[in-house]
Formats: sequence, structure tokens, C-alpha cells
Amino acid sequence: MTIRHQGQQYRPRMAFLRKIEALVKEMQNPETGIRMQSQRVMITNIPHAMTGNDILQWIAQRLWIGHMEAQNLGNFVVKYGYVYPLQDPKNLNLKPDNSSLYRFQTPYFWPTQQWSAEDTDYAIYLAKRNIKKKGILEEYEKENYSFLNKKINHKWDFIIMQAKEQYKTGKERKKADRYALDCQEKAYWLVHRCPPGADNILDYGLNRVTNPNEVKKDTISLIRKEIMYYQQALMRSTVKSSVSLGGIVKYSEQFSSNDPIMSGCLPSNPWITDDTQFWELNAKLVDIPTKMRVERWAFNFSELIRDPKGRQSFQFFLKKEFSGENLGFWEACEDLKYGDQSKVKEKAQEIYKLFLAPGARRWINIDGKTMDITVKGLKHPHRYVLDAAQTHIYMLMKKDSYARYLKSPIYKEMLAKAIEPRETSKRSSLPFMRRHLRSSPSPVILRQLEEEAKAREAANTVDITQVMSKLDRRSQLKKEIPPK
Amino acid sequence: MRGGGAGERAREAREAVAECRAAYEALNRFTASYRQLVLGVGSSADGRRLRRALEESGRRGFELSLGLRNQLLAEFTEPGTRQEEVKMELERIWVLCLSALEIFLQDLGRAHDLSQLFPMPSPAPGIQLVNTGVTSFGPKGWSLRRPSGKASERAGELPEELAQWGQRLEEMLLEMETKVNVPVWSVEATVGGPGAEEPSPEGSARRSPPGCCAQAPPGLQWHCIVA
Repeated sequence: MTIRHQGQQYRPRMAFLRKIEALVKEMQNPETGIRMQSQRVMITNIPHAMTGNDILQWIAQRLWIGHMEAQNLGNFVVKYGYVYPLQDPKNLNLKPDNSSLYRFQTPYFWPTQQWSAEDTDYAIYLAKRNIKKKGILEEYEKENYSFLNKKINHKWDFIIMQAKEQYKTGKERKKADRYALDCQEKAYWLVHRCPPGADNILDYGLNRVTNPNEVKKDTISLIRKEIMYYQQALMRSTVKSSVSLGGIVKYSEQFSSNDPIMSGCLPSNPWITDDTQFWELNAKLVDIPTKMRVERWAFNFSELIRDPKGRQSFQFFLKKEFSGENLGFWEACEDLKYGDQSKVKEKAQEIYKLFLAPGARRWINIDGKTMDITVKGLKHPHRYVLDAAQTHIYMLMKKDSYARYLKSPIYKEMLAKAIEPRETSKRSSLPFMRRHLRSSPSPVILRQLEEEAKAREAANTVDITQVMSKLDRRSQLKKEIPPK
Repeated sequence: MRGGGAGERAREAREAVAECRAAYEALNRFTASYRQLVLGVGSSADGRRLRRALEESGRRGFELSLGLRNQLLAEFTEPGTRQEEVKMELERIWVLCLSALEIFLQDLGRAHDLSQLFPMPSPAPGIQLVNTGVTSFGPKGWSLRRPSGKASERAGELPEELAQWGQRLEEMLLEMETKVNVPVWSVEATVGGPGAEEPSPEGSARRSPPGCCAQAPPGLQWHCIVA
């Protein structure tokens, strides 16, 4: 069932404990309920104990269910903390024999769904036990205790004072009652802060922000939204399923050899053999890429441009062809789209200055219409303002430069140099051998290196405009030197 | 303008702090006993007497908390410089007060819910009290402690019903948290880490009336491990 907790979140997976509560309440009936006995603890008699067998019989009889189902239900009752075992408090199961005794939990400690077991209360409980007898806390309880000490340190004075008071007040009760109360509290915390290894029965999954089981009423605004949504869906361009399926088949065939699951990977799958060579060889900007990787660049343009090493090689090629600004512009657009959005305005301005303005240092060649749209959009810059220009440039690179790149000596050389790692046999790892694990370089450092490399690139770029302007100047100078 | 030099003022300030602390300790004691009562609701210890005790205790608790709050607020809003020590002590008591109030409020809410689950006086057929093995609801010779004069006179007026108290207290708590600018997490605990259930000697010397140590029954075993 779904309940609303603290007005903010929904818990759609909580157990429906009200049903167990109803059953437990019925068990109390002096005539039709469970037979009560009294428990003997040293010299005192504490009433209201029941044997496991009695509980089981009662459940089976009351609900007309079989023995196994009754056992299951009885286990639930114990696990959720409505009934707690007396002899073996940690074992939250219903033992169907005549010697194990159980008792009901007081309603204050019932796991009613709206009350969470607070850390403060838990700390007070542990402190109380510590006061009663030093060192009685178990290992996991001691750990929890010191953890809580750090977590709610500002309340610690209060916790200790309150624990002492509660301990004092507890001592003032009758001995039998005190014993029962202690057992109750201990049982409560065994359910709500279960020891390691035990199932946390109260685990209910995530707190959700919206109620997934809510049935929304059809209001006019809701229907309007639906209509808008479907109209937009109609406007989307569609593809025949035969075409798209054919595309998937082709893609799968082409990439099947590259897929580590379908065709294994060289040198070896790190998840199986614990050998990280695969990751090292395929690092983002490794010096010599693997053969599979370089071959992949020839499949289609998006593979090339997605791979950082491929981009680097492509950029090298483009510079030779004096169209390096295209890829630079593309990368700048990607950064605008996916980068820090708080700097959108500045980034857009810089891109304009560098690539789009007339006479810019790295002016890109896009048609007039696209340029118009882009410049207009730059007045109110946002993430996708350069989309049109970026698509244009992308298509340009794909249709024009890509084909030439694949035929170029740069690519051929890269293909020849590419290594094909040998397959390492599955190393028989002795279970006790300490493998020396090195951590990969920190992503922070990697990013810094990338940015430095980019900055160096930007500084060293020789642009066509610069070159042209230099040539122009030289020819102008030549002209200006008056013939003698 | 207060008469006398700085020494006199300091002494008055310390006395005021001592009073606040005494009031807080009363609230602390009360919260513990209130919880004992609420533990009994719905169990075999339940009964008309328990419910009556709950109501009266609730009223008493309300008085206590109101009184303490007014006291503390008076101290905080009083103009004039204070020594660092006194200020820190006041902040500490403030945080303690907030924590105690939170627990009291929590117990109040639970008492309310449980009372509705197991309505009194005569349970309808089918609704029985849960047999928990606990037969009495209070300590031996439980007597409702008479409210002390000071606390009730500082309290002011009280609304009548239990539910209203809960609401008033919630509002009060919220007000307290937002009004006085005491960051709750900045208060340092005077007691040590786990293992030191007793305040370290320096800590106890700083507190004006010797704290919990004096009130503990002599039969309690002390295992002093100073953190």
C-alpha cells in the first residue's frame, strides 16, 4: 500500500501492517484468543506468555488455513515485531513447539507506519543499556553507538541526561514490569535496527516524490496537455518499421565483432580475469589505439567523432586541409550544450567572436540563412542556440572531409600502427594471492590534462584567415615596394 | 540599570542560567516519566487511571515547557553584554530544551494516536487491550507530582484539549527554532564519546548546579571511563 510520509514523500511499497494489527488485536480476546501462560523468571512470575504452538494453532483455526500458511503468517507477525520471542530474542521466527514462549508487544512499539524509529531514541536506548551494565553492547551496537555519537553530537548531552532519567524512572517500577518493559524495548530495537546479517523486514524501498498509484482525475487541463502531446507526436518524422529494422540488423552485423559480449574482447575481459589491460589499451587518448578501434572509425562518421582519439586524428587531418575550424566549432558547440549552463552567455559570445563574426579568427563557412538564424538566436543564448549551425558543419564534415580522411595517409598510418593485443589466458588466480590493484588516474587530473591540451591547441592553431591575411599582407607589401 | 559592578551582574547572570538549567532538568525528568506512561497505553496496564494520569501529565508537561521557554527567551532577548561562558551555557540549555521538547511532542502525538486506537472508557466488544505482561502503569507509589509554583506561574494560559496542546507545542517548537539564532549543530557536547556516560570532571565543574550526578540514586554502579 502507499502511504504519505511527512507530507512530502510516498512509500508505495510499505507492508500493509493494519491487517496484522487486526489479527493481533483479535488474539487478545480472553475467550476466543490465545491461551495465556505465565513465564517464570527466577523468582517472579510474568503473565501473558504464549507458546509458539498455541499461536500457530490459533492462527490456523481462526483463518481456516493450512499449517504451512499459518507458519508463514506467524513468522510475519514475529518479524514485524507484534510478538516477540522470550528465550531467543534475536531469532525472529515462530517456533511451533510447546517450549518456546512469546509475548505481545505494547502498541507503543508497534511498527505503525507513520512513526519512524528515530536516531535520538536509539541513542538513548543504547546509552541506557550502557549505564545498566558497561560493555553489554554487542559489536554492531557499539559501532552504531559511536557512529551516532558523531552524527548527532550536538544532542549528546541531552541523550545522556535523558538516558539516565529513563533508567532511573525504569528502576522505580515493579520488578516484573521492569523485566517485561526491558524485553519489550529490546525486541523493538531488534526489529528496527536489526543486527548485521538479519533481514531488515521493514525495508520498503525508496521514498518517491510522486504517488505512482494515484489515479489522476481527468480535468480539462490534463486532457489539453494530452492533446498537445499527441499532436506533437503526429508531427514527428516517422520511418517505416521495415527500414528501421533493416537498419538495426545492419548495425548488429557490423558491430558484432566489436561487441565484447558477443565476440569476446582482447586481451581479456577484465571482469573475468581481473586483468585491466583492456582498459589501459583503450584509454581515451592512448598513444597507439587498438586495431579494432581504428577499424571502427571507418564504419561511419559518428563513430569517428565520438571517439576522442579518432577526433584527435581527424583534427590533425583537417588542419592539413585547412578546415580545422569546423571540428573546433563542433567541439565548442558540444561544450555549450553539455557544459556548465551558468556560463552559457559567455560561452556563446566567445564562440561568436571566434567562429561566426565576420573576420573572425577561425571563421566557419556556413550559408547565409543558417548564419542569420544563429546570429538572431545569439541575442538570447541558451543550450541549443547553435544547433542549426552545428548540424550544418557536421554534415559538411561527414559528406566532404570524412571520405577523404579515410583515404588519407594519416588514417592509413594509424591503421598500420594500431596494435592487436594478444589474448591472455585466464590466469588461475590463487584465492589468497594479493593482487596489486592500481587505481586509474583521477578524473580530475585527466580533465585538467585535457583542458591544457585544448588550450595549447587553441594557441597553436594556424587558421586559414591568418595565413591568408599574411599572404595578403606580403603581396601587398610587394606591390607597395615601388618598382625602382 | 543594574546596581553594582560587573561582578554583581555576572553573578546575577549565572543565577539566571542556573534557574534555566533547573527548569530544564525538571522537563527532562518529566519527559522520561511521560514516556513510561505512554508505553502503557493499549497494553494490559491500561485503564482509566492511566488515561487520567496521561492527561494531567500532559498538562504539567505543557506548563513546564512553556515556562522554560519563556525563561530562556527572556534571557536571550535581554539586552546587555554577557560573558562567553554564560552565553555558551545558555545556548547549550537551549539546544537541550529543543531536544526534550521534540521527544515530548513525539510522545504526545503517539499518546493521542494510541488513545484513539484503544478508546476508553469502555472498549467496544472486539477491542481488547493487548496482553503485554505489564500490569501497573507507573512506579511504586506513583503520585502525580504537584506542579511547582514557579513553572506554572511562568506558563501563562493553557488551552484545554490534548490535541490542541500538540498543535500549540508544534508551533512553539517551530517558533523556537527560527526565532533565536542558535545553530543547533554548533553546540559541543560536554560529555565525551561513547563509553563516557558520565560527564567529564571539567564539564561538571562548569555547570552551575552539579548535574545528574547529584540526583542519581546511590545504588547505581559507576564505571567511570573518561573519554
